[in-house]
Amino acid sequence: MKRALLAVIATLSFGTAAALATQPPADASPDIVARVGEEPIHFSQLNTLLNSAPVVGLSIPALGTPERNEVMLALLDKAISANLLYLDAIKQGRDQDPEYQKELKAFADGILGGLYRARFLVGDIEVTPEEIDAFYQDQIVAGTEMDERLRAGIEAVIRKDKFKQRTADLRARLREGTAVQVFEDNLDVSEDPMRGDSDLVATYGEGTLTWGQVADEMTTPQNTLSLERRIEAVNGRVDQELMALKGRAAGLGNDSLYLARIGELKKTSLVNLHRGELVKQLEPTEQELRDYFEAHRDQIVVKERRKLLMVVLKTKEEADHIKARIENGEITIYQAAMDHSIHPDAKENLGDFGWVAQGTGFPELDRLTFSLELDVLGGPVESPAGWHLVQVVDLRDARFTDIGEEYTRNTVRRLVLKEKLNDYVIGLRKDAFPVVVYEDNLKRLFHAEGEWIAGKTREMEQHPERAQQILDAMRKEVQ
Amino acid sequence: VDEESIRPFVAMKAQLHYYDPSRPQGRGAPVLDQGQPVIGFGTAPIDIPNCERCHSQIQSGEAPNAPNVPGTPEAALVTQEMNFWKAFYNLDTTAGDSDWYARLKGAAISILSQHDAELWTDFLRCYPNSEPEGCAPLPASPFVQSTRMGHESVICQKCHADNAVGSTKSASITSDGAFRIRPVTEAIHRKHLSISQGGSIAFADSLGRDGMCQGCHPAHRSNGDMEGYPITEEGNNAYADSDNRLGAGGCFVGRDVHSNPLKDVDGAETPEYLNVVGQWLKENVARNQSGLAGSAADNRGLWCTNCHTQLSQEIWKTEDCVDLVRGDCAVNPRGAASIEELATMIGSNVNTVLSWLDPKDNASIDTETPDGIDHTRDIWRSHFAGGVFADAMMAVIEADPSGTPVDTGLEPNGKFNVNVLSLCTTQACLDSINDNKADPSQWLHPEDGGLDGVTGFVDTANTGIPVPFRAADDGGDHWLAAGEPHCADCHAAPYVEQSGNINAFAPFNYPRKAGLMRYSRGHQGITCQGCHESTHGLYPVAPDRDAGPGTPGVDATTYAQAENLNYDGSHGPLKCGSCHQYNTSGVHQRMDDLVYDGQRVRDNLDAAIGWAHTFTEEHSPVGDMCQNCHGDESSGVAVRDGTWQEHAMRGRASRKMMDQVEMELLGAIAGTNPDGTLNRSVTRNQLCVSCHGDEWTGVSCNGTQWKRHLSEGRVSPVVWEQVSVARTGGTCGW
Repeated sequence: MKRALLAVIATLSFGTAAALATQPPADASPDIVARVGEEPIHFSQLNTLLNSAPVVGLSIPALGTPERNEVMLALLDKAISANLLYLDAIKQGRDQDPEYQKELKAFADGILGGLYRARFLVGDIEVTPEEIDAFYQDQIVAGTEMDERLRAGIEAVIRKDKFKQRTADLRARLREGTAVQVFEDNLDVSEDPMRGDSDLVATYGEGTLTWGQVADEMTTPQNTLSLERRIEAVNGRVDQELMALKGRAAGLGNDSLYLARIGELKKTSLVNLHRGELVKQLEPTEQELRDYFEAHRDQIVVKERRKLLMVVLKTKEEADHIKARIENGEITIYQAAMDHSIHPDAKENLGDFGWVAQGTGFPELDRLTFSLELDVLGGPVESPAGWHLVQVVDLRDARFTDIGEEYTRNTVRRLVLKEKLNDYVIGLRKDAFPVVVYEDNLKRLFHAEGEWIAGKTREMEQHPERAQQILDAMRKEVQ
Repeated sequence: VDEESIRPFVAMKAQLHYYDPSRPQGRGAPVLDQGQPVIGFGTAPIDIPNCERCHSQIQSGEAPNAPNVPGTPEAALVTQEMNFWKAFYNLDTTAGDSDWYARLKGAAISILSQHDAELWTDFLRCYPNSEPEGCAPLPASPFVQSTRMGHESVICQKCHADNAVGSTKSASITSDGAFRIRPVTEAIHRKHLSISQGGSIAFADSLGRDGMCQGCHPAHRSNGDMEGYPITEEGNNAYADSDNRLGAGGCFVGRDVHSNPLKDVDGAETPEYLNVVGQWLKENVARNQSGLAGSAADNRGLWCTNCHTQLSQEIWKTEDCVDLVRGDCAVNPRGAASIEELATMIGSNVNTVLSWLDPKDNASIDTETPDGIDHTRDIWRSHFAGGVFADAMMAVIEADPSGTPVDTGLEPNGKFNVNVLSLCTTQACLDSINDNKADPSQWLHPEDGGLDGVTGFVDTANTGIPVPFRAADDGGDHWLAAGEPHCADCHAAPYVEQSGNINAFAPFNYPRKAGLMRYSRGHQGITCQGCHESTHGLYPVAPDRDAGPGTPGVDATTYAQAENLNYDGSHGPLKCGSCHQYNTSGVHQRMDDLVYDGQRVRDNLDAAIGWAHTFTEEHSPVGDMCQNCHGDESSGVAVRDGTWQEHAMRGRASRKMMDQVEMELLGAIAGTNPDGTLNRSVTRNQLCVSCHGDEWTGVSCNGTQWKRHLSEGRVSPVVWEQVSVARTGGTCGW
């Protein structure tokens, strides 16, 4: 594993042109694995990124495996790139973009409003073990086993009940001391075409809400929302605005959760904005696309593939004889594979050779394979392995063969843009911002993870009777 | 990863090998049948629902169905999550990247944040894995593994029951369900249905039919083609200006025979046997495009809401049929001669019935439903607050004077166990129970009570009360017989489920009510799904709408499966030749004189298939199958008649059929007493000697002679087993 790890670190350093430093500064977190300018990258960030990555059908490599380390390094590479783009965006003043500022404001309002609602209007809803036990005693049929699922269920029920009590008069409490007026006349569906964007639909204290601010939410392509629903939607918007205002006034702008959220969005949103602008600047010409396609044809074109049944025989005479027997209906190609093929797997797989791509096999065999009609027995042809009888049972056409075709063109455009962006980021790494990867920390953390898993595995092997307990303890530790 | 990577309907293959204990996993040489490997395959339909289409969007005029309202924390968090993945995974749609992955992640945060906001869970309290007060600090140890939520993934099934992943434990945590956490499917359906169509989710097509079913449910295709996908990236109905039924793909549309325009070309082709409901749908929905392009022959089939209707439940409530195939009914609205008669029988009116049959969002169309009401969600709302139509009753149970259900105390694990007095809930049944509390023999249909060993009342001071359907299904996600569509809603005999549903299993299927296809059996005990495919995968499955039959479409696997199983390579339900040797008409080659519906079965596949549906395990062969070879020779059926006793051995009838005939004509299986025990004297002196001399003492497990008596059907298994035990002390290892 050590050798593999060093190899991937070498790849990373070569690909990113990042400087490899053995040790981070003494006062840095032991968890830090790289730094881009002043932006630190933590090992735990990469772990979180990886742990959050799966979707149904995709899994992540297990802890302590070389495969996982490899993926972590790929993620480190991505994190470095994202941070470089972020620093570059700031350097170019992209953070002054009005749309970006507007997005940050809307985001901040949403988060602050949510926090205000949670902290001040609802408050923490604690469910104590005593409450759960009391519910269990009072409400659950005697003898029912109290397991994790039941405990979670009871907790949810109690929490929901408390929540209902606290939110019953939430709007009234929120609006206490603030004059709110919703102008229902300005929400009449039949008046929509005549209404101006600046027409007021609500006022709240000093604040106003205009038709232009809410029109998007009030209409649907097919059926316009009823007046009743519009009024409720406007009231909802007023509530959000008020909560954001009151959240700011309550000092939630310094709340650690707010800062964490806005901090992350400032970076990621700016990276995305900057990348979008770069893509516009890097748009390839038609000639560039064609040149790229020609230069990378081998990597772009997905070759035709065919699924084969194959019987391999020692001599041409034997191959001719077996072919005749198959064609006469004396035996099937499966029987021929099972009883006569010298291919080592033939008895097991009955000559199923799987899928082959054009141009990847023995030349003679390849020529035969890709000239045959479906379900026709071909051969024999000779290769170093023997004499082959081949039948094509399925095929998939070649793809991305013609740059004139739209799908191919779009694919090539994407590849060209990715390459240009990559070159741009490499340029940033080389010339614009210092990038340091702390190799010792990386290796130490990878090693520690691997050792921990290996140790626990040994412990389970030695004490199989405690395997479940050990697993449970591990689960607790990692969570 | 992009959305085109999603490929449902993959083939799952299984190949038969000889067992070889010396090989890994015992996998020996492949078995060949006439030189061909023995490979079976099924379809894995697993798909991914389209939550991200709405949940990754911020609500706007372009995306009115999005739940994330601008200005709310929910919208902010979705923005945050999507920006994160785009930034770190380097995704840019203008560069040609798919942002599907980021949208998927954003949708997950949307759902969790909505859950937090409405139910006050705290899934996102530490999101994005930060350090606010009360959250665990960022892990200093490399071993700590958390997601962006600051903790492990949220597993819905920890609270919500979900039979799809085997979490079948009831989500109710108290006996009366008052503190119920709903099963996950019910929670999701309920949430969306309560706010859709006329609410904040608008999903009707231009004909007013709600398209939300295919908006959410799997609609990807086996080849990754996304053209004509039924929901736009903004979460709108892609067929809002057209017809939902043109969105071939997914669970139903274009796959299921009912929505397959090519079904009569490359599919079922048999007569449809429609009742008045089916006939109305055929004439007014399937072949009537209400002004859209297409000729009368442009058969777009039925839509989800044509079958999942309140009408189905209203019919179910009313009917009282022992056997739908033969029309053995006390009350049979399914047999009504007209829609008017049907409406009267179920206590409704024609306008309501027709509006149930083709429910529409009246606000979005020019022509209203006959009664001017959108009934799309009636079936789901029947038990909701404000539901207009009462839920079907599913049982009469015993309740104490305060109305509290009585606990029989008989549940093995000590849990609450209601006393089911009867599964008949009509007023007549209810009266007969409460008027005769001490004498269950006076009750109407008492045979289905006493499910848990209690017959009658625990205490006659109590009362029998009917309980609604939701009492059985833990909340109202209608997946039991009363709430789901039945074949018999539209089809007439013999294409009705109850042909195989004589022995019902409550609460799935009920006595004297139409069953569900998925729980029913037809021809000789074969499951309906065995020949027709699963409920929504009904053959023919997905020939390409444009390219026509023979070109696999959205579900190439199931299409190939039908072809593989049908002797003639067709793509409809399995025909006789899938199991039997067949003649030139495709009918079982032993068919001779049998007549069905005036047609000689031998020469008429349609008649043969119709007859096969009636020939269930419960059906007597005496006046039926026996007549295929000869006239009425029932008087010749006798224990000592060698010609009769050799029928199974000579392949003239199955031994099972012979047992049926003997029980019907002789009162017991030959060689047994009426209670099923062996009658030694009759067996030895009459049964055995009908074919050979007295070989009683020669019964032995040595050699094959005695064993072949069982395998060749020379004698009933019931007799064979008892003789074998009596003579050899065992069953020869069989």
